[in-house]
Amino acid sequence: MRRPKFATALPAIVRQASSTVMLVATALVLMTGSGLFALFLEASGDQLLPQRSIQIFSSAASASTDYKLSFIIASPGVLGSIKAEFCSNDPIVDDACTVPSGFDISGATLASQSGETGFTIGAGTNANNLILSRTPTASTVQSVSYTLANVINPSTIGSYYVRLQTFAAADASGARTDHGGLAFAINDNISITSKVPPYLLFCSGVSITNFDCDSATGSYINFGNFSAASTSSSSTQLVIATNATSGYEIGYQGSTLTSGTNVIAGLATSDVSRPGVSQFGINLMGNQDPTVGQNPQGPGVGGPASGYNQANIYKFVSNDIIATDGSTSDYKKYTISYITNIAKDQSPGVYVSTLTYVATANF
Amino acid sequence: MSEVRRLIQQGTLALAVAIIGVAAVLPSLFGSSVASAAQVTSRKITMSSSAPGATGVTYTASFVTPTGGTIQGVVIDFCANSPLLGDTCTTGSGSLTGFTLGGTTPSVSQTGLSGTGSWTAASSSPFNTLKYTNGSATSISASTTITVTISGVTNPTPAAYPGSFYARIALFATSAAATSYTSTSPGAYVDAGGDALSTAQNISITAKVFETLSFCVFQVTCGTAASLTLGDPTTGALSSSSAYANGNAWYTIATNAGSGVSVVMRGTTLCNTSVAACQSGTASVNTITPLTTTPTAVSTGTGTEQFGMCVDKNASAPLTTAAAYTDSLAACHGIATGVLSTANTFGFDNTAVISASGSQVVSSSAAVPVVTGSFVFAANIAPTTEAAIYTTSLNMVATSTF
Repeated sequence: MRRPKFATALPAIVRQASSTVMLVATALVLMTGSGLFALFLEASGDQLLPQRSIQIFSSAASASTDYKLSFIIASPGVLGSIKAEFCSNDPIVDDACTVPSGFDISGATLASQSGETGFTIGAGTNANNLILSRTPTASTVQSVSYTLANVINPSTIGSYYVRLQTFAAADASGARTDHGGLAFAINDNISITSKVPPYLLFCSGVSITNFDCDSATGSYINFGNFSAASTSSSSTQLVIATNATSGYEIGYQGSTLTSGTNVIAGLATSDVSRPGVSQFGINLMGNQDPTVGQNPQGPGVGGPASGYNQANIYKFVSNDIIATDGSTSDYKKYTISYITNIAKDQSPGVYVSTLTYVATANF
Repeated sequence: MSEVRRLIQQGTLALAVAIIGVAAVLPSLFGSSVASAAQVTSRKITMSSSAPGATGVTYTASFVTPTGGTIQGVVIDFCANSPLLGDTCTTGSGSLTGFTLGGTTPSVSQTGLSGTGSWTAASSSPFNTLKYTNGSATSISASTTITVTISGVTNPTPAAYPGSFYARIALFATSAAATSYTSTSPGAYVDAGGDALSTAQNISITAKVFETLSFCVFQVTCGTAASLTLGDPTTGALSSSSAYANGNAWYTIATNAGSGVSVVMRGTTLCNTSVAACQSGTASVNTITPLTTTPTAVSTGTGTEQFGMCVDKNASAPLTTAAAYTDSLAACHGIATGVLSTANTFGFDNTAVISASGSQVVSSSAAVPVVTGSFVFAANIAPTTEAAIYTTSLNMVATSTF
């Protein structure tokens, strides 16, 4: 009762019509194990399995992946085994099969099953033949699916085919009940590469508009004439950003204000501004005493370091770190406030200091 | 052996034709009972099917009667061996095996015979002889074209090919004479003639159309893996001030699956693969944050981490692009590789992409002719995007449902 090989090309309605004619016999089967009688409608025979598909979970060549076979049982009747033969030439059952190079389903495990269940990997399974076997049991027209894990894909890209067959026997022997072909494709992955180069954006100036280093202007501040009665102050600005994973540190180097051998003492320890006391110090905050500077601005999460992070408290120690961020940093603008006080006996002169700010990114 | 039989049969046919020809010239050879008979001319029998054993076949006999006068009976006698009236008629074997006119009252119609009265068809086992009579029929003119159409005939299944068989046509002046006809004693007919027919085996053609799914992802031609650089064409670097696109991942797809095809994507967003969590797509750092299932104009998001894709289905009607990967500006078509300055929209269903089932990117509900389209990728970075080389390997899987 085998249908010719070209049956797959026949319109479904023709196949249905021809098979309906054969749907005539019933068999009374003695279930000796249970002592029950069951009336089975014999399979009409060799219909095309509808709604059949094979879903592979990776289409990469030689990948070890899962395969999910799905279809609808076409002919109700005894179902004991399902055979899936994998070929590289065509899905026509009974044609000679070219084994796909590199393909191996012999080590697969049946990860899940639905619909008609109770199957295990059967004897006869080899590199390109999978046999799902169970004790022959009546089946009904319903959707079924079987997921096989650890299937090795073919090693070459291209189209491949599966020949599905169902059998009443548990070992895929005898006349098949139904059949159907499937196709799937093995492909190269799409590889995408992008570079994000390391960067450290850092600039200084008396004034910087927003976070635009191109707008930085000035590198010189003039305190004018010092007075023992009041504090002299001024400010400069720094902008920094980096994609260094471990962030950045900003330090400074230089001397306190000097005029020849005369010195305005740098604040070796943090202190408030004290007019009449020789002091030179900085911080990175908005201060009220005197009114100078502003708090850090911008989306970056970094901030001033200890000693420089309190309003109205100043310090000057060359090589100190004045700002840090422990991770990648978006734009941050720091305003450095400078204060100078002198004692009444401060020697006259032109006091000068050159400070160098250094930013170090930690990638 | 069959070749010998064929030659014998051909010889028999040649002889028959020769005899018919002689009979037309020398009617006296047919015996005294047909001394005045002439041969019907332009005779032919057309079979609606020549397939051996075919049932429900219509035989249309057509001929011109040379002699005018009253015709109340037409006999058409089918034989395996000879078209000659009076010869023994072989039936039920040889080239006439299985032949039947359909029963005792074959279905027959006519044109050209007298319209007076009614014509009755009769046959008897083995139903190879039609006797078509009308006792009320009146005279017809000479040179009248007569057609007798017999429906419901079962063709013979010959024992060997060619399956030639014959018909003997005889016209009678009275219905009684026609009714009395036998093959070997045809009686006094007015006009007569022989015809030859043949069954012929059908030409069987087999063609296979097997299940197909052709799906190839490539960069130049099928077989060249798509390996894309997403960023500045010279340095390959992304920038927080420009969005970049790359549309050099092409695909072709075709299937004859009646229930269509679904293409899903699996993988991760762009990720610094030196970070282990990248492999699962769950890393929160060292990744380029993917877009969402709502397509977004990447070019307007510079300074923000974004990675997404759109699908160009090349205006294919059967294909449908998944919502997440639909470019609302230009259907993802014609996007140049390099800096992206147009407001094309991209998406990325990261949850689905990293799942076992993948994220559907394009599908159809019916068969798809060959379509060549592309997957277009786009990315932005933030100023804080960690310095690294970011990669991803995206696997496109097509599943057809037949």
